This record gives sequence, C-alpha cells and structure tokens, in this order.
Amino acid sequence: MIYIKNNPLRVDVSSCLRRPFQWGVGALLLGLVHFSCGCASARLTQFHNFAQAGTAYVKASQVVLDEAGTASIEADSLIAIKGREALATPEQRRKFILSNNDELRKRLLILGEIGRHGQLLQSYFETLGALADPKAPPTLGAAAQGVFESIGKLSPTIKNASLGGLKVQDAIPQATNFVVQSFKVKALESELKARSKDIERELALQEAAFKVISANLETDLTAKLELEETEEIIKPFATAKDLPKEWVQRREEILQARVAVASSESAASAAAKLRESFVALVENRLSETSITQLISAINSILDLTQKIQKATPAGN
Amino acid sequence: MDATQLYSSTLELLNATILRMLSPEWDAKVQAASPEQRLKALAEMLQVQHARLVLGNAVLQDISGQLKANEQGLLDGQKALQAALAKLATVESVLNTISSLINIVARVVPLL
Repeated sequence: MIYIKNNPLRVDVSSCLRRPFQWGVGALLLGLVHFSCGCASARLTQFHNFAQAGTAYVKASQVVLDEAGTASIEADSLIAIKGREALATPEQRRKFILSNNDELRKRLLILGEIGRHGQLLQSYFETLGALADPKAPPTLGAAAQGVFESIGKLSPTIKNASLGGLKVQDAIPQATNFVVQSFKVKALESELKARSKDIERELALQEAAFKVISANLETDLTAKLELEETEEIIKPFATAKDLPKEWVQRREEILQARVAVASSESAASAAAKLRESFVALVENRLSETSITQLISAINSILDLTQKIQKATPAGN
Repeated sequence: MDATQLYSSTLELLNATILRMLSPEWDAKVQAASPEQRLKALAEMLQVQHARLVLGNAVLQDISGQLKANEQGLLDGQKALQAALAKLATVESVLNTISSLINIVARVVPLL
C-alpha cells in the first residue's frame, strides 16, 4: 500500500500497478505547491514527498527483482525441459537439475539482499521525513542511526556480488559532491551532516545493482521469449493443421515483450533519479520538476514490468 | 586482456550462444539435422546454460588465476565460436566450437 501523507489516498500496488503512481504524482505535486513559501511546513512536505517517492521506488523495484528471479528460473526450466531428452540417465538428469537449482538459489539470495537493502533505505527516508518535523521525538536520531547501520551491514555482500558476470561494485557511479544546507530543525541537520554522504553511496549501490540486474533480466527474458516464439508461434504456424485460437494474441504479446525487454534498464534509471533527488533534497533545492522526473522514471519501471507480465502470464 | 575482461567476454559470448541456440533459425537447422546431431545440440544447449549460470555466479577474485592460466584457450575459443555463430555454419561445426569453449570454461569453473 502507498500512503500519501496530507492526502487521503491508499492504493494497492499489487492490484493496480500503474495507476497509483499516476495518482501519486498528483498527490506529491499538491504538496510541492508549498515549496516556495520557505516555511517549516514546506520543508516537512519536501522530506515527506521524498520519502513517498522513495517508497514508490522500492515497491516498483521490488517488482523488477521478482521478475529477475522469475525470469532466471523460467528460462532455466524451459531450457531444461527442451534439453531433457539429451540427458540419457536419471542420474544425469538429477545432477543437472540439482546443480542448476543451487546456482539459481545463489542468484535469488543476492536479489533478496538487494531488495532488503532497498527496504531499509525506504525506512531511512521515512525516518528522515519524520525528523523534518520540528515536533519529532529526540529518539528519532537514534532510529535513523540504527537503520543506517543495518544498511551498512548489507552493503559489502551486494558490492561483492556477481550476477551474470558483472560485479556490482564495478558498476557503482562516482560520488557526487554536495554540501548539506542549514535546516531549522537541528536534529535533521545533524543527521544529514552525519550520514547523507554515506546514504548517497548506498543509493549509488542500488543504481549499480539494478544495472547488473537489468543486463541479466534482458538475457533471461530474451531466452524465454525466444523459446516461446519458436514453440508457440513459429512451430504451430509452420506445421499445425489449425492454429490455436489464441495464436494471434500470443504472437502480439511475445513480440511486444521483446521490444519492452530492451528497456530493462529503467530500474537503474529510477535509482539514479532517486540519488539525484536525494542530493537536491539535502541541498534544499528539490524542485517540483525533480520529483516529477523521479515519478516518471518509477512509472517506466512499471511500464516495463507490466509488458513483461502480460507476455509471460503465470503458468505459461 | 585482464581477468575482468576475459570473464565478461566469455560470459557475454555464452549468453549470446544460448540465445542463438534458442532462436527459430537454429531450431530450424537442428530439426533438419540427423537425430544424433539433434541430441548433441540439446546436450550442448544444456551445457551452455549450466556454464553461464556457474560462471555468472562465480566471484572474479576466486577464478582470476584460472582465467589467466587459460587465457589463450578462451580467446581462441571465443574467436572460433563468434565466427561460427556469425555465419550460422553447419550444426556440426557450431556444436564443435561450442564444445571446445565449454571444455576450456570447465578448467576455470567446475561444470557437470
């Protein structure tokens, strides 16, 4: 569920993938109208908006992580089924499937760690949003530190992880130079001064992880779609007496998905926008345009996953 | 070529190879081949998939020594396979180049 503060809006992402973010843009922009007045409530809104955008990013990127795991497993399963007859004995078949299961499990573990890393960042941004409130309890600073420490424990595993031959660490973008602005709420200012540079690096890690995941997702989905195109479109067209009644629709879905796969880097782009927006937030220059661009990038993730899901319905 | 590049180029080629082996064009060639070659094509497809999973999950530091030790073999194998895939030569010649490269990859990471 996404809860847009100051707006009585609750939307279920699982049942409605795209609309919540379109609504979300409107809700966030309503809040941003107050940006120019420079008062404490505007600052509060700014941090809340960023936290909402962070939540939207984490939810959308989680769908990409799920798709990446599913695509790896499905591609491997389809290849295993296609090639099964080449494994002559039960022992050969057992060894093959057990070994590939082990490798897929390792991949799923890394995807899970990246997901948890994103969720902790979301918690951190929510805590920052709460810290921006002048009436925030003093314990929030310690809460932010606790969340940050948990993030730090996950980072080394993700940095050292390799997915499909690409090491996450090698894809981390260079650090951005920025200066933390003065904020009226001193607890917020001291939190940002203590940890914003490290948080920028953690966001860069998300960006790197999704670059690596995108490359893998593209290969696995293409493999799956190649097989589906051969088995469901080309073979029946070439050899069947009558074509299945869903043949035209499946052809369209598979070909559309092939095009969508090419934009699999959308999650990495959204992570990059989130990092840019965080720096702008800390420098007290987060604009309506920045948030709109961020939400638009998040919507691109949802476009991608929707097209993939449409072409590869569960159980297909 | 350093170990990182060797690792990435080998894996990229394995990815490209599995995609080619799943393509309708390759499927048509295999369907027209002898039953023995068809079975060999399926077996090599499984080997390529297994190799790309194992190599893809491997940590570079752990295998950089083996990569460097097999550098020439990997480079020659890559070159031969790229050429065979580019012209989509006979099923037999493509399978032979795949098999050669997989044998060298098996010296870098343990395969089935």
